[in-house]
Amino acid sequence: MARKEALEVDRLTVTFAREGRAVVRNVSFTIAPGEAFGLVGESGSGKSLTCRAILRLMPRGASIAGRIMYGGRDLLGLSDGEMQALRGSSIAMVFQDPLTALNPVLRVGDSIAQVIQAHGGLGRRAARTRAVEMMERVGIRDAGRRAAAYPHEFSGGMRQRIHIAMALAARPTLLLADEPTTALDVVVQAEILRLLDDLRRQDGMSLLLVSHDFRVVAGLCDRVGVMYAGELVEVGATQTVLRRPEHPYTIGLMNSLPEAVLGERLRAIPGSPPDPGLLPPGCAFAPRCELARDSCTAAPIAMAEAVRGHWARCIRRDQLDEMRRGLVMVGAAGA
Amino acid sequence: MLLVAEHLTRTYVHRRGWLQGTGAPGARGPVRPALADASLSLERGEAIGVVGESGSGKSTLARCLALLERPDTGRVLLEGVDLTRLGRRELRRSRRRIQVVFQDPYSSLNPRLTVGSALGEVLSVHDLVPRDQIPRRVETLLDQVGLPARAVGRYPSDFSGGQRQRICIARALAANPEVLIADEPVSALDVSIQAQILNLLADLRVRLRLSMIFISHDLYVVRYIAPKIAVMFGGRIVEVLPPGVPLEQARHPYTEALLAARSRLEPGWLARTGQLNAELAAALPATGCPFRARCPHASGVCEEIDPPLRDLGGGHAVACHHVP
Repeated sequence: MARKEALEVDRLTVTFAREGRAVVRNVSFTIAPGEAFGLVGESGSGKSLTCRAILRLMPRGASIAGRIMYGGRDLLGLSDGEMQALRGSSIAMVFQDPLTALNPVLRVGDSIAQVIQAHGGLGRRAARTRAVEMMERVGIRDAGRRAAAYPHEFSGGMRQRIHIAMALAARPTLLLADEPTTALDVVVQAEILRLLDDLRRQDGMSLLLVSHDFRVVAGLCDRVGVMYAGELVEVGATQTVLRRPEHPYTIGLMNSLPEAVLGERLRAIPGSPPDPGLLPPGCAFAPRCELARDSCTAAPIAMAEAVRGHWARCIRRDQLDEMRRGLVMVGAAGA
Repeated sequence: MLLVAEHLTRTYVHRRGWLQGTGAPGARGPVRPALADASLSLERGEAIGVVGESGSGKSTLARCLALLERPDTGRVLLEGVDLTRLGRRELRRSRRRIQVVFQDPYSSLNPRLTVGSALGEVLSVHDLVPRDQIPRRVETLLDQVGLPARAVGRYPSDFSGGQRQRICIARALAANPEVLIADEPVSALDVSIQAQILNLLADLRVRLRLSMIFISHDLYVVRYIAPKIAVMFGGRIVEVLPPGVPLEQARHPYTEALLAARSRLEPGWLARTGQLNAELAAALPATGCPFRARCPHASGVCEEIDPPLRDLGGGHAVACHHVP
């Protein structure tokens, strides 16, 4: 069995029949074997739907178009049975809220053992032993005893660890994580992110991390894609995007983060994200963009390569220097 | 001093449950208070930030300061008057003077009231302007928080999260408060909207000379609004950072951990974060220093004595046995 596979998302479009509007529009990206890729955007940007589309976990009334290639197969062309066999085994997912992701009436050890039995072909006893091993791997002390406890007996961070143990139990090659630490306190968040990062490197897994927080993605991901109104507006290596963002929205997101400096005003993005039903034909960000001209909304704007491997969807890129000047943190990140 | 809190303590007692045996198991042993011996003083026009994780007691402190909850012991003095000793009617009158903006703008607005009536209600309940001038005042309030005048006839459901938080701020301002307490007002909002609301609060503070208590779990968000910061852990104020002291000069081991664990806009910051041990000891110890189970410097004295808050000079105070 090939352990290492690349994910290729090609012109993914998700449409809701009722609204008749696409909420994910022509999104394309690839994740190399063992690579960590982050999707950043605000609520409603389509980042979570993009992530869920890979497992074909779609809300009612949604239709998917495009291609999602994994392991040499187009996931969108698989039968429901074939898809179900992939879920949890080759591709697993970690959700934001571990309490709703864990079965409240099962002992956590049994929840994990179920995954192992379903995908690994192990017997009940062997699955239980493996479940305890998994709990130890995600840093739960005294795992043998704690396996008999129920989800409500754990703290938020510990629950997320158990949820991660469950996701990794069948040794997936691709892990999808949708805001895995958003509900957690600062210190616990850093611990869970570190755990995800360590496990990913040990197993050589690929990771797709979805977050509204650029900082979370910066800590974990080799490459990053920024989504706005259902579209990718910038893609590149995390390092290059942070050092020299090439889209006004990306700069705005970075500028929105509070600095340590007192008395300096935050350069907030004015207005709010658009209604997916009321998008202009060109750049969806134009109504909030200080650089926008008539040409920005006249026709669709293609991705252009700024430097090798760093793409952005903006025709006013030569005007960005003034906006970038506010980025204090990037200067500080030199070390 | 405008608002002074002295030695506030609040313990939530788990009574025996409704069903046999469902009372909390901890009820017999010593229970650590949700808020212990917290003192704070706010000058007119000043802003104080309160930072801490969930369970640190920061919301309990906010609720006690606004007298939404009565502290078990301690006093809350508003211009020298002890609010904890007021009767119901007098308290209601004083309540107008301390207003709170909560984290969740969805659950803190009545879905059946238009924005105009939600604000108008505050004005008429407190008899703040003559009846015929209510519409004009409502319009001014909406303008102050950056909402259009046509918002008056709309319902909360017509607005996004950020706009709802603006409505909540307008409603708090309607009461003409002397102190505004903002309890995690941006935590439920997207990053770009957070920045808008933070700017709004910073502007209002200057423009209306508001005195403010600003609560958040994010040190840098807090410092953006408030020059002075109180760090809470396990129901205690463990460090006070006065205006001149940069965050990086924090001395309490918990504040240091908060800084070390903070996510940053730098590639690969995660790899440079040291050991944190936040979860290995989830339960708070019942005695001694509340942070000792997670503290790299913990020793015998930390088990026995809960360290008092000690001034290091210049208003920088730390509650730790190991800070010289």
